[in-house]
Amino acid sequence: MIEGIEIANTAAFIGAALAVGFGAIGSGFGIGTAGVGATIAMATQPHERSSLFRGMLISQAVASNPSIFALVIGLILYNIGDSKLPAPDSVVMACAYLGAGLSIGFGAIGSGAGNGQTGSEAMTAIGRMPSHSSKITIMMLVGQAMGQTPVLFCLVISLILCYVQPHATLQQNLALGAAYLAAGLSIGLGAIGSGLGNGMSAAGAMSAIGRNPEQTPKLSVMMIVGQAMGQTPVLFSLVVSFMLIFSNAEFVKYGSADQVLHSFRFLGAGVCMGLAAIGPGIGSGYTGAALCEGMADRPELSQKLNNIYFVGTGVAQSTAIYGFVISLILFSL
Amino acid sequence: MAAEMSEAIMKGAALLGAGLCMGFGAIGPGIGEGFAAGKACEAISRRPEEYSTLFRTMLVGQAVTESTGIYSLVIAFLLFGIGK
Repeated sequence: MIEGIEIANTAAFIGAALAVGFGAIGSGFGIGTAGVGATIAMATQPHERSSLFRGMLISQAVASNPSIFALVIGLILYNIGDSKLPAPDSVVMACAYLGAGLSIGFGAIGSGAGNGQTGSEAMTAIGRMPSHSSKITIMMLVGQAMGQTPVLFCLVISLILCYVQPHATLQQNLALGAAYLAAGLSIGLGAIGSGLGNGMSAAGAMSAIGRNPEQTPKLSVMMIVGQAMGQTPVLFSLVVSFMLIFSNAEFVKYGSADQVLHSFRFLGAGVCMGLAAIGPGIGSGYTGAALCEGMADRPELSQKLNNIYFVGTGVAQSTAIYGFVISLILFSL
Repeated sequence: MAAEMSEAIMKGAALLGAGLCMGFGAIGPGIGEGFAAGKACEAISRRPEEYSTLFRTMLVGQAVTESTGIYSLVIAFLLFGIGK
């Protein structure tokens, strides 16, 4: 587009910086939260110091995973920017690299912060019930693994965007570039909500197990159900991202005015689904935490609690569905 | 050509606006409705005999919270009318 400027290489460097910069926010916050939880638990149970210290290190290691994913994408993008690209002036590749960086960068925020919260509550639970520490540690790892799913979706989309190869006639097509950038934004923003929400669900389950360890089998099922429900918005985001990346058949025949119109349209679709997934993800996570805590206090009420939980979360998901509908309409206009 | 481009920009801005409108508009109701449902779960475990009252109150509260999400949906559809 602009003679003599290697915008694809430049965008790859910017993408690398965005990935690692944003990606470090969540994990930094989460690792700190887990440390606070462990420190408070140590103050109340000084003779459990060694098991709390071990648990803290495990939970912090898991909470740092999202930022390591961001680092991997950052290094890949740095290498791409440093190498001699076949089409260094390609607008489409520039947008794809920016999208890859933003996807994993935003996506790592939620999972990092959420996993840290899970770790913090698990340490509090071990401090309260030191005899059940192995059970709590295993449940913490299961909850954190589930909380990692949104950032894994982001990693997949980022890797696809790093290695995407548009057709030679489409290298300067604004509409295709906007679709790639929007795909990254959709999954990246969408993963913030579900990552945080899954962390909240698992944190609620940890505190519930700490209060009533006999109910662990039931509580673990409730935790996983709550996290699966909290995962719905990010799955909508993933669908929109895949649609934006893989349906580019008619882009060839767009004139320059059409390209501008359609690039706005695709950006709108991606940003709409990404932002719309944040709120329902966090809301579902809060509800899941309350369900686990209620179940620990009054296990005999599980039927009533389940009814309230499923109806309440279903209603809270409705705005994510509105966002999905608007995205699909924007996509098919 | 210039007229064609300015029309494309206007329509495109309406479509981007529809996406931004629904996206931002969905954040608040999502968090708020989840909070309401969570508090309802807490309340049930404290006073299970008030189950039907709590269920009704939760649903009414969530329906009112939903209203701003529906405003966004309506505005997004109005913007589609311009951008189509």
